[in-house]
Amino acid sequence: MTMSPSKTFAAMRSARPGLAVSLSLFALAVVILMAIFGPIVLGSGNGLNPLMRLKPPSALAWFGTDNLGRDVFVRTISGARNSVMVGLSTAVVVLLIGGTLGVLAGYFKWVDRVVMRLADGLMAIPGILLAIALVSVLGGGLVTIIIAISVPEIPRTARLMRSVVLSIRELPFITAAVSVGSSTPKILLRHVVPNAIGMLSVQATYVCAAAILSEAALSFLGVGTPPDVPSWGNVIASGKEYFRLAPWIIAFPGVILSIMVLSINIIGDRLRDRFDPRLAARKAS
Amino acid sequence: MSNFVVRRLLSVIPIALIVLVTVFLLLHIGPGDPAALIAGENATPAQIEQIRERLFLDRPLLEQLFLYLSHVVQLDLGQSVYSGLPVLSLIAQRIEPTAVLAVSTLLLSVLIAVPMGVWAAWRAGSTVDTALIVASVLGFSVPVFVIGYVLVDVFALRAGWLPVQGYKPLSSGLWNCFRSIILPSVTLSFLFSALVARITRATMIEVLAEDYIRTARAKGAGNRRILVVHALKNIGVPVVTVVGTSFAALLGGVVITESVFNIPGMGRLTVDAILTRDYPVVQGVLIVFSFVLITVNLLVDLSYALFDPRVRQ
Amino acid sequence: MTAQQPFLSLRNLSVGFGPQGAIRAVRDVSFDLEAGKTLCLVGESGSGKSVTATSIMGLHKPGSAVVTADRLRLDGRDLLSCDEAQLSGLRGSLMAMIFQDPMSSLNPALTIGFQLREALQLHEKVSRKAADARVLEILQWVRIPDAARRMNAYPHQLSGGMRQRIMIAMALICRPRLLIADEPTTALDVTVQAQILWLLSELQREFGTAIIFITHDLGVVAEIADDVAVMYAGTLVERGSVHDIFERPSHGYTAGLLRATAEFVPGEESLGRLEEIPGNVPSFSMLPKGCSFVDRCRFAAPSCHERTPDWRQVAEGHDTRCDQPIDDARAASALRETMI
Repeated sequence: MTMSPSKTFAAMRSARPGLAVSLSLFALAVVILMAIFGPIVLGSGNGLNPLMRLKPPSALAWFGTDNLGRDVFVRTISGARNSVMVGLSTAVVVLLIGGTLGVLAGYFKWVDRVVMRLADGLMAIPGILLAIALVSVLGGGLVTIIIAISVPEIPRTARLMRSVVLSIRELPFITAAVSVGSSTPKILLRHVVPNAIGMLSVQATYVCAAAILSEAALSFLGVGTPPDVPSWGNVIASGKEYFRLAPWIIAFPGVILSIMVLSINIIGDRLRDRFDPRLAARKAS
Repeated sequence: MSNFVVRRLLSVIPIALIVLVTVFLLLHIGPGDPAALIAGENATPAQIEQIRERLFLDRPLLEQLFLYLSHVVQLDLGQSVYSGLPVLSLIAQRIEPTAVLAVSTLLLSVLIAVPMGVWAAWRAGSTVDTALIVASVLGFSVPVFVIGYVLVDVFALRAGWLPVQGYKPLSSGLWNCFRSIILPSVTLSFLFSALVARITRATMIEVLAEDYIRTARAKGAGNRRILVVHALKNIGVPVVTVVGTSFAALLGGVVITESVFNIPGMGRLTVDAILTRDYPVVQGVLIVFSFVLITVNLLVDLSYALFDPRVRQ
Repeated sequence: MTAQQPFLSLRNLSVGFGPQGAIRAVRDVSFDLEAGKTLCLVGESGSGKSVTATSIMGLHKPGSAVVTADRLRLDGRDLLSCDEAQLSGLRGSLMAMIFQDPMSSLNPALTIGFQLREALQLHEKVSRKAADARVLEILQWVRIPDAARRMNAYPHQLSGGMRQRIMIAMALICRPRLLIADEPTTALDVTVQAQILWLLSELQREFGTAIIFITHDLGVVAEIADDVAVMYAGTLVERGSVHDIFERPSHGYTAGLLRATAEFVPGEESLGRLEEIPGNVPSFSMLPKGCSFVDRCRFAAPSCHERTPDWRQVAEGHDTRCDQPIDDARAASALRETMI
């Protein structure tokens, strides 16, 4: 009967994060609008202007200019499109492949054995290094980047979905469905997958955030998106050599990138609080 | 206990094998001829042929794999295409800064994150707790290189307290080395301690709600005793686990941090090798990093026995 | 003398949880307990028994509960005015507590010996060697077989009954004068339960410990209680000697509880029909006006809806919080109705 203290505190906190989540959604909406319409309005930002090299922020160029005289503001806006695209595409690819493998592994013993062994092996290679290596053998380009970032993320997602499916399998309504003779594919599609969607969406946010960070990291290291395709990582990388002279080249896209990833993570945490069966079980007790 | 150790040790074998096969296959999954890929765009057919022979690329795939594995087992990671030096000695030259950075980050993060997480959990719902939650979300949302440049700007360029970039080896004196590694490891600690603090806090909150904590209070144990004697040992397993699972992120962060601070470590070696298409070096670095990761996770699992008597049986 | 200075005395103890203690889980609980006696705190789960006990020990998580009382005195000390450090000093030495679930109440990461030794050394300055001797002694006293070897065992290596003995040993090692046992046998097998009860009465005989025994099992009450206090929806509704409560229950709830248990249909020699109390325990936020039992009481009068009843003495040492206490005639007629 005694109210557990953690429950009391959880109740206290749940009143607050409304603001953080609303701000995050707002920031996300702004960035997505920027990604869609920015390049149409402002162009790609690849126009060189030798007279305007390394100029600090001003009314003419809000975020300053880089070493080639390109407008950092315009490049940041057009970079949003590629960064968001990499994030979303990676999330889709990872969830489709990792999610499917995870669901199958949670249901079929032999798939489980093969998939989890492979996952263990792949997870033993540091993700960013595997991605770097993949980019270098597959060649540059946005599609390659997405593949390279997806591969290290897939095992983690498969693993998570497997454990979610395993816990769903134990629920009474699955036993009920089995006992009335529903076929396995039917149970998977009708009962297991819909119940796993919540956690899948949580994982989607984390993968998306991680992918945006990875893209930036790869570009920053000089093995990512080709330099003529602006992305946040790319813009930041272009300021690497000049960061003493022109810190704004790194600062502005860096801050926007951080806000974006932060917003996605906050929304992800919020979703997890709602959907994680483990947390829900704890709340009910 | 010994049963557990043996089982865990054996489980390393398939993981290591998958890593090696993956690394081997890297060269072959790309479009086109691996030899041409390595030789670069301006290579003559003779040069390509030479590379093909040197790397056994003319043999059937399975034989190549077997040759590759047998060389790796003998600690032969091949030669750099670029410099001709053995890959292992190239790595040996570069391993010190990377190891120093990784270890100092690990120590710094755990020293900061565990007490912070415990404190936040003890005062769950307070301002301290909220601050920690915010800081930890920030920690794994802000990219390592952004944090790095901010710190360099504040502490090196403006305040002038610390060197801007570069690495001083241990042989140049402990103090010099320490000074050169402070900013990089603080930078990287943001990410790593965010992960550790988050788990520490969550686990600690759970442990503090356990019945045995109530028992300890019923005995008359004071707050400090409850934290140190009764709670801390029970958060050991989850905290050590997150150190293990986040170690991959730490190693990835090391590569980026080395680039920000111009540290000549293994991360820089990797990036340089990729830019010069020096694939044997890329493969070698991947193998070494992976084996470090496998070892760390092995140690993590074995350390469970220290914290949880149930594992010892 | 004892009437003025009972060993443990509670007057109008109330406990609230949530913001400003708005959820009032316990309201106006008053009772006394003499040294060396056993009081059984009886009621359904959620009636506030454990919260009451936890408040005496001061064991609520700091900041989670608001405890108020006109009096909360133990052995001449005012527990309400004690700070956390003072309470820590009393817990384990003057008063001790054992809990319902022996599986989760022992720290899985520490040995039995360590946890017992700690309980002793927190309150008495004794050497490690002397402490170990005391631990061994108390383990043998609670009938732990092979006690010397068990000191190095971890909780998961022991059975449930064994762990509850360990808990008892830990609670008793400093010879507390008050022991609160919160459903200590609920999680155990019936045979083990009997051994634990026997152990507790043995302990009382030897050390003269006062015991508050929390249970919903009236069979256990009949076996060990001197006095009984019945709780319902966060408040005490009846208190008296075990004889009074079982033979002449005067509150509708007490009578209902007894009728719901086969062996104790009052005034009947043979077993009557088992009967349940209609309805459910109301939640703290939706207590009815007047007596909180009114909606479920077979004896409720219109006035019971109007005002919260005060304590009323039905006999020497037997009080009820009911404005229409059951007398034998009414009970008999009510019983006849149910038999038809």
